[in-house]
Amino acid sequence: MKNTWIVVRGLLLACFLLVVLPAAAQNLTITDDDVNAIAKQMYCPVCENIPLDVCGTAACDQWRGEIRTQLEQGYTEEEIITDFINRFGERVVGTPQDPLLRAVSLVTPWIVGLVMLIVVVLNFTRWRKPRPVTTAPASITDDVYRDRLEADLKTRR
Amino acid sequence: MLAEFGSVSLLLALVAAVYAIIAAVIGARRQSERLILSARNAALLTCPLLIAASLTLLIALVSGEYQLSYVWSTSDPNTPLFFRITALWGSQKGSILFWSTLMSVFAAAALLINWRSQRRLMPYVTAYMMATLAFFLVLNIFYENPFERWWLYEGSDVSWQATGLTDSQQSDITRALGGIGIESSEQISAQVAGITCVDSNRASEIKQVLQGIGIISVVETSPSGCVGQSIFPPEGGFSPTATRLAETAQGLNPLLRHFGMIIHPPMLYLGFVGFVIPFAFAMAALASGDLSTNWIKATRRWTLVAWLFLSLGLILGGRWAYDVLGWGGYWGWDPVENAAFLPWLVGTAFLHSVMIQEKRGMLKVWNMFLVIGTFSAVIFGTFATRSGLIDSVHSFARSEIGFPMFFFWSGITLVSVGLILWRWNRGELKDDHRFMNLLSRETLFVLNNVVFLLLFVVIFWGSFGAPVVSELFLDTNITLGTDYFYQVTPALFIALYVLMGIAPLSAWGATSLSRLGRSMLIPGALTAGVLVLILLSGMTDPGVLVGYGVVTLAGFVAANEIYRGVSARMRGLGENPLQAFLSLFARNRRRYGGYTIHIGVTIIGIGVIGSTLFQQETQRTLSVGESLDIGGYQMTYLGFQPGQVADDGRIMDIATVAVSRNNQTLAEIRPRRDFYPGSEGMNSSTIAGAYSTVENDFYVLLVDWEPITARSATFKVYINPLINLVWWGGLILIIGTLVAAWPAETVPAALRERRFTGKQVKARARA
Repeated sequence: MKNTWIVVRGLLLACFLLVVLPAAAQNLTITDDDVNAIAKQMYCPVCENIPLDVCGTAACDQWRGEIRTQLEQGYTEEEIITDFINRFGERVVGTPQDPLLRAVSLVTPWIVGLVMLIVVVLNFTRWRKPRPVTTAPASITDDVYRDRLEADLKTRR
Repeated sequence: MLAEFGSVSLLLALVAAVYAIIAAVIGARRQSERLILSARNAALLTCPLLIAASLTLLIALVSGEYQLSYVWSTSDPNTPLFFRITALWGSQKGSILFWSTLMSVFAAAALLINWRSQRRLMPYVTAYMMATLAFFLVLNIFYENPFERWWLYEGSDVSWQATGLTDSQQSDITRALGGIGIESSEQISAQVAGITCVDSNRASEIKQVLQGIGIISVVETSPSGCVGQSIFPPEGGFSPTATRLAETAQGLNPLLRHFGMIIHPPMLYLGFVGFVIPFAFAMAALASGDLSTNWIKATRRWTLVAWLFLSLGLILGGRWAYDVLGWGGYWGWDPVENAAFLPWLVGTAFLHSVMIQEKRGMLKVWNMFLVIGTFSAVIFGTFATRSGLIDSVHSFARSEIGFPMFFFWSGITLVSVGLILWRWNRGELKDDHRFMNLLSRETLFVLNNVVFLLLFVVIFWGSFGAPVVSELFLDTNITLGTDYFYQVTPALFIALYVLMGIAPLSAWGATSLSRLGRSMLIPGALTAGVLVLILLSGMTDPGVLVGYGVVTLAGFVAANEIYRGVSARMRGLGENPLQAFLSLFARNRRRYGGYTIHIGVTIIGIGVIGSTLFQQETQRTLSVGESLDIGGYQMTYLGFQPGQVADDGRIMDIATVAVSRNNQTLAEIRPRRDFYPGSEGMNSSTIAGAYSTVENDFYVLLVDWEPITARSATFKVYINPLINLVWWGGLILIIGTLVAAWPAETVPAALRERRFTGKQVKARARA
């Protein structure tokens, strides 16, 4: 009898939690700042390249409303962004989430940069190779103005 | 009358430009002085003709000639005079005319100033400048003519059922219509396609052709009123009444109704067209075979002037965005902004690298590539922003000027690169010297160039490359936003500031580490002092310390160099500090102008780091009398004034908020929303209210409000630390550029001696 009572109490508690916890979750106060923190990472659906948090169109208002609703329903930031990408494509975010697109977007400029650096280094090495020098520099510098300035400062000290 | 006069002026300018190209090239080949002079005169003539065309459009705008469709779409009877004038560049057609006019002014100035000193280059310079001008005039006359007028005329529509047509039938229709000179059909509704407003003969012809290929349900409506745009009236056409035109006029785009718009676009255009001159000289050098430093000497000041205007345009554009676009910042890494920044990057690289050619006769090929790259970036940026490429890779094909601009850009780039490679292959672009030491000014300048170009690559890729590649090859639309740019650009900007700190202290040819170390001692110590102060203020973020470290080092190096120069003059010549300072700048404008620019860039850097890394923001809905706290400030919502009507017809909804700190009211600011009832599309703008100090901007945007009572309103509030340094740094940069570009006074040595006072002469003698 005692065990049955414990089971009944456990079931009642479980029912209470099932009812109360989602309601509590739905009553979370979602601030504009919470919405904007996510909207900042997304872009206006109808105007080019305007972040969603600062965009003034009706479409942006609607999207921000959707973010608020999803936050109220307990979705995480990542889930919300993924949901928007699934519905509207990669264009809604500032950096693509798809691994291939992300790699293409972020790695390509560095590859180009690396190639440029290699070319420069190779050229420097080539340029520095000794060759018959017709006129050796008299001093290590030919910056006449600077030498004169240094001399002036030294003499007057 | 105005339309006819403007159109004829444009047409004559095109004829003059084309004649100048032909006469200059033939004159140069045949060594005909008469033809070359004739080409010059024709080129000079384009300037008054285009000024006349621009003035005509301006008169039309000011006097409200709404039959001109450009005037109708960029102004209305409520538009104040100020914005009627700025409307000249307020839309595509007018801005291309304005661009062409500025280009002709630059071309005329270059011809008049450089004609005597650069006789060998000038025929080719004329040809290249006029080729560019002619291209823009073709756009203006045949694609984007600002002198087109509205006409009413009678016409019929021919329509047919569009649903249920097979692909083959669709292509038959396209082919059949093409056969009678009609390019495509208009989609009248989801179900119906058609050709609208054609005269009855044409309508019967279309009907017959379509029925001939089996499209049975073709309907021809009875003639009714049609509206069309053309310079000259169509057959049977008559002009709409002035009242009707004035009533329906659209007015200027609300976002362009700002003081910044009076100066930002002209500055940017001056920067863009200014780079035509160095480009033309470089091409002239390649075409004529005069590959000495003549072209560089002739264009140094032109490049600086173009760079000055472009810098000013970028800074003012940032300020306009900050004031009008209502997102709390000044640079959003938007492709349109980046399109203007890209030529600036290559142009800055060129300005540094050209010194190596002047001093050491090196990097001849590289400089050619840079000057062509700058001009190519100008044309590409114009093409990308005006053709719709940014919206979609496919939209430029739909834009009228997309293909012409693409062909011009790719053509001019290919021809230029081809010319360089041809001269290079012939061994005519060999350097006079080689790099002797890795630690030399030229090496550091080359590294500086590499960083500038890397910045160009990553920004180009983010703005245009990746979106176009993903759309073309991966069938996906992507946007690379601020996240991308914040990941890829900071390291490059840091490298740039490091080089900006070291390069001015190194010597041409070679420099020693000990000498460099000695020169860095004072700036290094000052930088260390700043870093200690930052640490003491509680900021320990390594990113912030590195950022401020390199930026302030670059500034201290430049300031220390100026200080040392002033000291040397004070001690050597007995001048007072102000005298020494002024003389120092007067005698070596380029060097000290450059240092001033570096100081300006340093101050901009401090402002950018502060406003980017330490920006705070919040959005709250407040009831009247309620407050919010942010960054040590308190903001209280005081009240709302809805529906205030301004002189120009705009309706303003204004909120008033009080900003206080430590219980002391600092200011009352009035963020507002402006509505433009007559405008189509985007008909409102958010005007921020700001309380500005050296420390920061308290920047408030009115986001929303409770309808009717406005008892509560939503505000977005930003604290933008050090943001005003961005504008002040910009001002210093402009002053430095003016100093560097100012023509040096050439005074004979004897006269110069006479100007010295007795004391100075003695001091000089002692020295």
